[in-house]
Amino acid sequence: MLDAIALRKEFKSASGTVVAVADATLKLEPGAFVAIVGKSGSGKSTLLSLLGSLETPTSGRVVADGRELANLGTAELTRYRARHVGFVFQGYQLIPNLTALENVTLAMEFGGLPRRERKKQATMLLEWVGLEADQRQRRPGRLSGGQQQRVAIARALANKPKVILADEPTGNLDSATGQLIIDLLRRLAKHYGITVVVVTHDTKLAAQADRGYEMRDGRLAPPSAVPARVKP
Amino acid sequence: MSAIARGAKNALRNPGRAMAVVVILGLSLALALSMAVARQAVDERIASAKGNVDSVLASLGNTLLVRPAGAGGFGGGGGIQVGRGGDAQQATLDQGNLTALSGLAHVASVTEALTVQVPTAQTSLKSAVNFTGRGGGGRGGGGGGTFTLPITAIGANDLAGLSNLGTGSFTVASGSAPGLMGSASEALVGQELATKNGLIVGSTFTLYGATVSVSGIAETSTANRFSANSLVLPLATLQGLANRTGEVSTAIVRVDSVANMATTQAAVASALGSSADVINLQEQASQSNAVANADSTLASLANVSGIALTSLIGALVASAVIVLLTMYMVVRERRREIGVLKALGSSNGKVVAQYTTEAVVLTGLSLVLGFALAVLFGNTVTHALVASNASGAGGGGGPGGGVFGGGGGLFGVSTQNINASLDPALVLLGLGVAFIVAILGSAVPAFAVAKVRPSEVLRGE
Ligand SMILES: Nc1ncnc2c1ncn2[C@@H]1O[C@H](COP(=O)(O)OP(=O)(O)OP(=O)(O)O)[C@@H](O)[C@H]1O
Ligand SMILES: [Mg+2]
Repeated sequence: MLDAIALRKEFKSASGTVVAVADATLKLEPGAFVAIVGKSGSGKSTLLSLLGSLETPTSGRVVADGRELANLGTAELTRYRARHVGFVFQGYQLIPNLTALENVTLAMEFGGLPRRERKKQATMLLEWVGLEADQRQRRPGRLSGGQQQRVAIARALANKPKVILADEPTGNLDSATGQLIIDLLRRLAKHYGITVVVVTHDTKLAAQADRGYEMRDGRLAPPSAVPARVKP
Repeated sequence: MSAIARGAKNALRNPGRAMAVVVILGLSLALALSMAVARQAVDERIASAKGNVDSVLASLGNTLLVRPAGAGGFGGGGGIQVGRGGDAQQATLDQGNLTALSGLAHVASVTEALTVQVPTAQTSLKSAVNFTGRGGGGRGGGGGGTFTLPITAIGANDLAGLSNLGTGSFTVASGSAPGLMGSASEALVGQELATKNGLIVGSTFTLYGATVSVSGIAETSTANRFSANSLVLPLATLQGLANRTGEVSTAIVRVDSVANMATTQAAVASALGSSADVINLQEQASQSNAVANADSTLASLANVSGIALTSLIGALVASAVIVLLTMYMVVRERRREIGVLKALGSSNGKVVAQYTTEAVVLTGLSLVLGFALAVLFGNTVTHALVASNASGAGGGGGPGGGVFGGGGGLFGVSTQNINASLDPALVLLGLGVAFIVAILGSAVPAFAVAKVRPSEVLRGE
């Protein structure tokens, strides 16, 4: 269970204060598949950062399974990032000189999985996202965008997180490949009870979510306000 | 793969740049090592030369030298017939006059010596010292050709007093000294001379037609090759053999204390009258050109040592800056990657460990190169440094170098053969310093890692 309560994030700069997120309240129950759409600069990535504890809110609270993030120490926050949430970043963000397999075991190292289990688990995850055996030994530079995004999803799943935060997971992919990735994420929510939050520009993909939100100037419009909302 | 393994792997991630860094940093570390080595070698030379000058001066403290009036200058081997070819007979002291000296107040002992250059035809021994065209100056001074130093026979009535004769000191290494007060046909032979002629205790050789047996072999001060090429016999024996009965070339008068030097010098001079010169050895030595030369050479060596230290520090600072800049560049490039690691739940410590390892590996590789270069060129650098900054007081002792002669006599401070070597202590020091340099360089990633905000670097492309 991940709760965002009246989240606000301001960025102060020389030219003034930018309110990236304003009064966002969001309840994310296990197995929920949620889409967030919105124009560029509307605050979608910032909201994900707040949920994943990569940023601290100016005001408001994030509560994960009853624990408020603001009350966690540095080590506990590091642990939260490693084990409670899994990020799928804009533009894959794989480590270029590590193989697909190593990119996944890397995350397992931070999650504290014993060394001898990492390779087996990572192989299973890469199989699950649909990466062929020979592709698992390749470096990101020798994989296609869709394959890289699968590796990124496997990496996000490395430590069996409760929440997947995916920022534009289909942004660099053709629509067919994008659809495959969305299917993958929906399966995670439906079959494994993982909360999946997807940020996307693509309203067609957003329509496949349980709930869709639109962000406008940092404000999160209620789900009912999203016109093309389709229940699966 | 651990943070350490990732760091090591990343060190070679960009092979071209890694190589460039290793070469530049390696050169800088090689310079630092060479300077450390040079400084150590020069400091050692300074210490030993200073000790040498001081101890020689101190040993002369209560010693008067008596020699025939008007005998040649002391330097260059005149006065005691050392270091001059040929067999020119010089004026001598009358032994009869000297007997009175031991009766004077404050005189502790009187050593009488007759020094003779033995003509080649007069002995079965072969000289142990040949010089090949190397004068007193720097490298390559002097012409070619060899010069054989005649064997010196010293007749003396006391072994201890000989150290002031300019023949160096004799320490019995095997066998024993002959009874110098007697007149036996026995000799104490300098090590080099003995080796050259295959002499051992009990061997015999001929001298002025007589058979002389070896009673002992003497170790001689290495600073003076004349003693190595000499032999010591009882005074009476040599006087008899060389047909110089009653003649003494030099006498050494030891005074009971330094405080009584002036009065005793006057008393000895008046006892001997105008036939002899009485010289305060310490006074003469400290006023000599040799000591002045030694001092100026020591000063210029100290200067070299200072230059080496400055360069050493400069090279270390440069090395640290190279590591720092490299790591700055690396971290800037991989900001996004650092953000990913942090977002994936890596602690700052782990990321810092990874980048520190990268710096240590790069420095380690550079250090290997640095050591190799320092071993290959350390000596050349030392020699060049000394040659261009120290005015040498001469080489290792040419012919004619007397006691205080400029060329490698007792006071000669040589700037030659200052050899640098990488000893284990320096290797360890080098490792330690390089490690510190690497850690210093890692301050950059440590700082940068803490500053990277994953949300910032991961927002969009
Ligand atoms: N670290 C920051 N410092 C200053 N301003 C920031 C920072 N991060 C975000 N912003 C500002 O906050 C607003 C929201 O940014 P955010 O990245 O969340 O938008 P977004 O909806 O993800 O846009 P996009 O669709 O282009 O990715 C923007 O106006 C942005 O300029
Ligand atoms: Mg964004």
